[in-house]
Amino acid sequence: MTTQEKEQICSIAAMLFAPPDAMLVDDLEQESFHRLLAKCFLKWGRDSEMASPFIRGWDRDSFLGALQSEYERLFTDMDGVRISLVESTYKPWTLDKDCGMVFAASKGLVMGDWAAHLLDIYERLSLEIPEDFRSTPDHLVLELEFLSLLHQSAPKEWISTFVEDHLDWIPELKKEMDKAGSSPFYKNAVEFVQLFLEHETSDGKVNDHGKKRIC
Amino acid sequence: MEKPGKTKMKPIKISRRTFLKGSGLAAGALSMGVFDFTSWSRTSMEGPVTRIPTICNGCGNRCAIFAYVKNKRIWRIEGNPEANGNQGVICPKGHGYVHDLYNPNRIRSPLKRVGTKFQAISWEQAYKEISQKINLILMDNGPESIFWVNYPMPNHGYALRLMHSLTSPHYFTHGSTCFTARNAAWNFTVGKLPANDLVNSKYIMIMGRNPAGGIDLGQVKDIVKAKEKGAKVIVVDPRHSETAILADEWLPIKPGTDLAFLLAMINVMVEEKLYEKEFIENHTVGFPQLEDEIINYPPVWAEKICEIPAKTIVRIAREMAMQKPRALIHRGYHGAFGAQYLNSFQTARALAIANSLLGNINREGGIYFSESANLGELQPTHPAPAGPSSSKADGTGIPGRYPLGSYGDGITHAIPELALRGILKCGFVYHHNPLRTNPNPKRVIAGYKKLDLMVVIDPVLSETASIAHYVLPASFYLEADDAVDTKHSGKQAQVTIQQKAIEPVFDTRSAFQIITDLGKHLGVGRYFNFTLDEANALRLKPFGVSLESLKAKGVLPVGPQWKEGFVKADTPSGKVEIASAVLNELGYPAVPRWEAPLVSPDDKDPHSFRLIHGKQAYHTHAMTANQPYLMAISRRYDMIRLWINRARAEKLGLKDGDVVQMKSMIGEGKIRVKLTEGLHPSCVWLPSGYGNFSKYLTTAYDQGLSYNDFLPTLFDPAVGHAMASEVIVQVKKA
Repeated sequence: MTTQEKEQICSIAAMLFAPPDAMLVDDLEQESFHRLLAKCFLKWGRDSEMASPFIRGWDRDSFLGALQSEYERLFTDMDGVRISLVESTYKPWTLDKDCGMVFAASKGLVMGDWAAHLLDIYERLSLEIPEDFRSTPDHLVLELEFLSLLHQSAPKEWISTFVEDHLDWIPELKKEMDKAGSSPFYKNAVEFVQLFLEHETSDGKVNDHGKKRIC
Repeated sequence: MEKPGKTKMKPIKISRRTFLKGSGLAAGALSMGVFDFTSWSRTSMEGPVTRIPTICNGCGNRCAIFAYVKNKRIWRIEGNPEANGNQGVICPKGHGYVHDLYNPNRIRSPLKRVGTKFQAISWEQAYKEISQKINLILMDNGPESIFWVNYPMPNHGYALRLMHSLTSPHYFTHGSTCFTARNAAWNFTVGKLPANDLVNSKYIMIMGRNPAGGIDLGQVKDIVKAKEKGAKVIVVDPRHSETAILADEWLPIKPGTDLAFLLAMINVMVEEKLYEKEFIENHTVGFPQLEDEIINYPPVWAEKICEIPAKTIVRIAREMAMQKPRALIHRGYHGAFGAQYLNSFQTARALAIANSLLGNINREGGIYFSESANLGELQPTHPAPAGPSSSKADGTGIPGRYPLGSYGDGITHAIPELALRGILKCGFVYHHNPLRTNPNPKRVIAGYKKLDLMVVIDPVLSETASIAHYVLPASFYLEADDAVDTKHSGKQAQVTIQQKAIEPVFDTRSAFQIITDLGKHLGVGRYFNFTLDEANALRLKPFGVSLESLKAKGVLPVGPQWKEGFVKADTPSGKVEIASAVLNELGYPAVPRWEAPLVSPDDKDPHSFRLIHGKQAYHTHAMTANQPYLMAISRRYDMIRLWINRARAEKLGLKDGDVVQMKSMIGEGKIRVKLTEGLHPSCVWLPSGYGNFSKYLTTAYDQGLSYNDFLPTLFDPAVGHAMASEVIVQVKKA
């Protein structure tokens, strides 16, 4: 897979996990998009048909409406299952043993160490994050976009370091999404991300539940 | 199907916006030491720590604390030793409540109800739509149709200013469900609510109040210090409370009969001339009327009612008199007579009079008038609005309605009734959750739902927020500056300040900003043309202390030290009013008389109990049950249970931990029981703070029961308080 393809795949993945809108549907209309996804799934040992949920099978408005409903149900709606797309919530809030807060080692909170780390990186690189993400600089969308930037110009070592440090929670996200009975679109989207990370970015190093293992 | 990968792909166009804005990765901008998480983490732990003095919001005590911040995140909190109220310590709620700061389920932006769901909207849209709707409602229904209700916070003066700017009289606190009977009684007797000089007392009697459970850290420390100096502590409470654990003696009084106990104590003091004669002669009015009335209440009479042996009442009256004036009966709070019974006002009056007989008013070791910090006015720099021209629709302060009710607090649980009658049409609920803290939730829901517009200002989707038309997310207290306050005043007045320790995590705003923003959008911005710093500086002006010095310390003593000695009461006579001419004129007894509770359990029915309630040291109202660490304490010690007297429970065939069905005239529910000798047999006791039913409060949801689920909507005929223990329940094995 070329560097340019990897960069593009990261952007596509970020797009898939952003709140669905008309622009997403426009982008999904492109045949080349499906070809790339099908090619990837095949390359990673899966059926190319896994790309089919990304093809609009019915009218545009209904397709977008269904995506929005499912996104809300899974990730944003306060009445929904509220699966977190934020890295910090999957990890202890801080590793600082001197932190005196009762929740220091708790999971499930935002703005943990990993978020603070990314904020520091973004600041040093003069990367601005939008207001919507002020409390979640470690949101999956931003992390995938950042990974795309890394593929653009960073050394391979940095890419694998970033994936190991900041995208090792994807298997847990996938479990949560499976448990919630995600629609094929989001089920395959998270699998797409996981497969990409496993096969294309971390030199065969795969993480599971925060415990690193070597394949 | 064509094999993927065999065809040369067209480049994919990604038309949607990118989220990370910037020019890409600049070479050399980062070292691996920063980019690698482990290295960065190690370095960041060495970061500087900043200490910001502020005020806790885990409950209404507003303990003074220091918030420590490292790398722009909260890192530790500890008590500020300068504050009278908490004397350097913090309770579990103070630690546990901070969890909400980084809770992803907090409200992240203003919400608007659309159908059955909430939609995130911008602040500008929220303000615009809310103000347009309010203006239309006020145009059709008049300024009296809007209200504001809150649990009092330092900024509540600005909420009152907002209502007065709109010429509405309808500002409410939670008081009628908490303390208004107690306050009214003290006001009618000595002119104001006094404090307890526990630390210097030699004999402390506490009736119903439980500072070790409904936690008041300063008071607990003072009780312990007093005991170390040899003081005797008596707790009169149907339940062996957390404070009873500290006491020398626990008197398990029959609930609702504290008045009988007090009248009998007074009887002993009067009959045996144990009272402080000089004080009675020079500083009180109405003692002869008391002498006439009190002969009706000998201890043998009281024993039959309150079930405390007559000889115990006599002994305690004598023991207290021996130590006078360094003997006190705690001024009370919610429990026993704050807002509990039909006789609560008379009970608190009797308690105030019993203290007066001990001659302990404004004496060392007795009941004293704490030094108050009278904050400066905003005017003339910022003129105050003219205010309302009509009286409150709840009838507080109005003869024939609730003449003894607190106009300032209003009758909060009357809001749903006023809404159902179409008098109130729209309102704001701030830092308050009436759907959970008011009696009879079905009625409360019906009332609040009847409003044309309800705006809730809260950090989380509480029960009340869940049914609002709009929800404005208030910043967490560690994210917001606030008005200066005087909460910690004692023997010297103290001013305190809540300061922002970190930037808001989500798109939230401080309550002060929300109030002033609302004022501006509602067309009364001329009354809100000041910054918080300007206002705070004006508030501090009378004391000659700067805002900067207060910000640096968090707590500052101001004004003179308290001086012992009774000079003058803030009553019509200028004296302690044992008999009140005003009460007499209003048609109430001038001196306390026995008055039975409104309802009583059926002695012949083994399933009939009075339902009473109280706090545990790790929960406050309805706002802490959603904190995982505090709920973990509840579960670890199996505290979400209904207390029931062991002997009575066994007669019902109940074993410890059994599930019972509890039913009142308005509600029912199931809960496990705790069998105990530490509870009067006539009642069951339910810990407050549970029974949340907002599905958005994922930790608290469906945990335990709330006493409000069983309590009908009641209004004491004089004060208007909720009479929150006037409820009989049937308890049966489920």
